[in-house]
Amino acid sequence: MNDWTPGANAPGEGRDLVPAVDAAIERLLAATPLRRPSASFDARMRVLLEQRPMSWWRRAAPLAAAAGFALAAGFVAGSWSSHLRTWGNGGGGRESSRPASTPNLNLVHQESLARPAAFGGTQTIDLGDDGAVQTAPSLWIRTDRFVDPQRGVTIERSYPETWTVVGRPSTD
Amino acid sequence: MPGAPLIAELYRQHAQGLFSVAMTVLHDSSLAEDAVHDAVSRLLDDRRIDGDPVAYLYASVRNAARDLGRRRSVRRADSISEGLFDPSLSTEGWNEPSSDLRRTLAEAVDALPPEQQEVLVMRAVGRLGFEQIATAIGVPLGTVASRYSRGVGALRQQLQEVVR
Repeated sequence: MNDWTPGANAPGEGRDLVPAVDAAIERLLAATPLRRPSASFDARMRVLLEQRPMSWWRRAAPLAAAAGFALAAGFVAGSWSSHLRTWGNGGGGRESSRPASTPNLNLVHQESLARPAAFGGTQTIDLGDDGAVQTAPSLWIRTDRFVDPQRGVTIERSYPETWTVVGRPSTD
Repeated sequence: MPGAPLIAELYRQHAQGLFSVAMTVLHDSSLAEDAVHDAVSRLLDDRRIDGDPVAYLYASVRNAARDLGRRRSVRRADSISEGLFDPSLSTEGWNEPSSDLRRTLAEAVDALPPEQQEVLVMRAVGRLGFEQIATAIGVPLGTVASRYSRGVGALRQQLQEVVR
């Protein structure tokens, strides 16, 4: 592409034509193929922008705030009920206890429960009010605490996850 | 506070301009890539953009490139300086007048002082206004206008010789 008109700034035509020539040079510059970043860099940037749109704790913050409000509202209304408490020891074994009000619930955890062998921890999942068990996938904020007593390290991690209730409380 | 989608969108719109600005500082494409990556990564972490977001993005990349240049200056002193333009430009379409103009333009731009190069790249490639450029490089508007004028003047002179 050649947008530049050489004659536009010929001697005697006046300095007011200079900006037009400058603009033409700009256009020519913009149309001249520049050195491009490599394909691997493009891929690197795609990963950066798509997989880390924001850090996990920032992503979780508004959801955690909403969940906190919901929890507070639940306590105030006195309708707090079901709990599923899962204890993980990090070595693969774990214990579960389920409340009597929800005997037939099967929670499908859509995220791996695997965790570093060096850590053990506790997680509590609140299922909501009795009689209002949600069958649609529900978003929860989960907070895990990993403690390594030998190293004296404690890590807390909160993130949203989706749970689906595939059973209903028995009505027998 | 800007969201990550805004930063991502700004990057997509200005990817070439940002890379080219980093090239005006570093003259090394792999270092320029690192500078752009570092700057965008930091913006995604900090999410703090003061003033004009486009100017701030260019300023971030420019600063990252200058930091990287200072750190690598000794180690890479013997590296080959890479130009701003596609290397294939030197061999394409020898018979086309427009290619001749482009080659001349590319050589003339590569020969400009870096401070004029960056103003021209921000203006012509990034489509930034003069005020945005002044903000991005942290100099008064008059200085930007002067660098632009001198840079374009040098290019004009080179191009006029080709078309004579």
